[in-house]
Amino acid sequence: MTVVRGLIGVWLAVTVAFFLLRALPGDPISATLVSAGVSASLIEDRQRALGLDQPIGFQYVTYLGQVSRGDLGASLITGEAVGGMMTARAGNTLRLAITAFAVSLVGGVALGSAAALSQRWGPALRILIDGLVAIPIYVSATLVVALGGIAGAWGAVAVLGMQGAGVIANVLCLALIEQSGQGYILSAYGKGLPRWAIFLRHRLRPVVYSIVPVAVLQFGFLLGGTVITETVFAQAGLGQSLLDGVLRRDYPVVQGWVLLMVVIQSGIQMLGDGLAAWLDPRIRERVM
Amino acid sequence: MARAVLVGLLAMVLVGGWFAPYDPLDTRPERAAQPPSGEFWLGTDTLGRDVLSRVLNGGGLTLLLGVGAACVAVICGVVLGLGRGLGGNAVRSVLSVIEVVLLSLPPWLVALVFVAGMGARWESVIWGVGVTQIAPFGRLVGVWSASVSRQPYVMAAQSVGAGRLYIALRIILPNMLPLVVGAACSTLSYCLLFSSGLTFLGLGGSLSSPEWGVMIAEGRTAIRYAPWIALPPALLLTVLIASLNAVGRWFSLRGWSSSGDFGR
Repeated sequence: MTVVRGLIGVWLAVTVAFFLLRALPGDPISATLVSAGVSASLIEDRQRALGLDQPIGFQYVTYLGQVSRGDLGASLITGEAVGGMMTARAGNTLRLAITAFAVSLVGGVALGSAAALSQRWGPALRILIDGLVAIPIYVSATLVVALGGIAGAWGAVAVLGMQGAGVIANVLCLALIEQSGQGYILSAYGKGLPRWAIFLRHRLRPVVYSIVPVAVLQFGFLLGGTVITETVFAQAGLGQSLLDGVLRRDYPVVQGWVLLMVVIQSGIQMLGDGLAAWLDPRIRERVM
Repeated sequence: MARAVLVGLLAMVLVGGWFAPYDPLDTRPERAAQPPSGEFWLGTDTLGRDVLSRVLNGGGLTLLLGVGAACVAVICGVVLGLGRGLGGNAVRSVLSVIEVVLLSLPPWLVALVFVAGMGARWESVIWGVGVTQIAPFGRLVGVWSASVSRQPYVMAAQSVGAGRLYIALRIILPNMLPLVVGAACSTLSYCLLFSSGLTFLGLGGSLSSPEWGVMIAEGRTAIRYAPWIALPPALLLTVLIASLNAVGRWFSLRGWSSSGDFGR
């Protein structure tokens, strides 16, 4: 059932993207060739060669047939195969996403716990969390480059990691504060358990499920390629191919991006649901 | 505290332009990139324009983009959510198809398609960003309205023969208003982040008046030797978004406590 739902979702997204892109004014061939001063007949030849003169319904069916055979087509501008292009770009994005996500997770759990539990630093840390959530990505990127002198991939990791840490810490901190008055915390202290054991088993364990939805969202957002971060730190990833693809009307590239994105998103969503059920027995009971 | 900051910032953005000491568009190469002084309180940018005047004038457009996008999201989202929760079968199925289609499209794709389709202008930023948030907002409204509609006072209204539209607008909507306002605040802060990100990338087009995202982009290249150009708009934008988040949280908490726990 989930698989069928997932496939329908993929088909829907690809279809909507297909027609949405073609509804845009301007087409890739005229855009690139007219500016280069090429004659009208040459442009028509080129459009015929790429199949852009066919009726749109025919193009759509052809495209679906191609995709079902695993062929994503080639870029209309460079002629590069979209599949290969995505794989190359995805490597960059994947490395960035996983590193930044690891930073967010570790930083977010540490920051959120400290903000909720530390008497002394709590209020200051909560302000810090609010700041991390609110600061626009391009502002933190600018600051990281200017003040930290960190450019390139590590700069991108720092910026995205900080933002993710803020988002995760925010949720965890609220959950921990809400939990403070519970009887089981008092009883754990009453048993004279060491503080680390109380923290891990009795405080963190019951609320850790609450960060799963935001963590899933964050990871999905990172895997989509982050247009602004990639631009500022000059990391050619998936976000860049989307930006260039839409602006240059490179239909196959954008369609390939959408396809990849929808598959990744539904994959992560399923992973997140499984993780939440594993961490939270209440969800497990409801599902099974 | 956050509310006071928010009100102060909004007041500054709305009427600050009147108090600007200089013309924000007046370029004078001979006074480029001057540090803050008695004459130019926040210094001048690389084209010699007064940063304070630009900051005071620029907030309006930044806020307009965010508020415009948030209005698109909130109005369409409320209609979508209420219709999905309370409409007849035909309305319901049409709206759910719309929702599924909207949810299937990645936000950046939608925003970029609007920018590409309508041209790099500020209207396209409003539509592009707003449309991405309709379905998420509609979902929230749908969940809440479904919970409210199970409350006894809704049944009471039904039993005295109140119409569906009356119940939706006069009974259900007012009862979940604090929640809607809370969510609208966070939607607004998201829209501000997103739309100023687009203008930062230059996708808002060439603007006739200053805008914070554009100012930060311009100041970014000079940040090492003239940090006073990018920092004021960056700081104001961050504080604006943080205070919006805090106010949104306050409204949501109030919504939860005043409504018992129907929405949990």
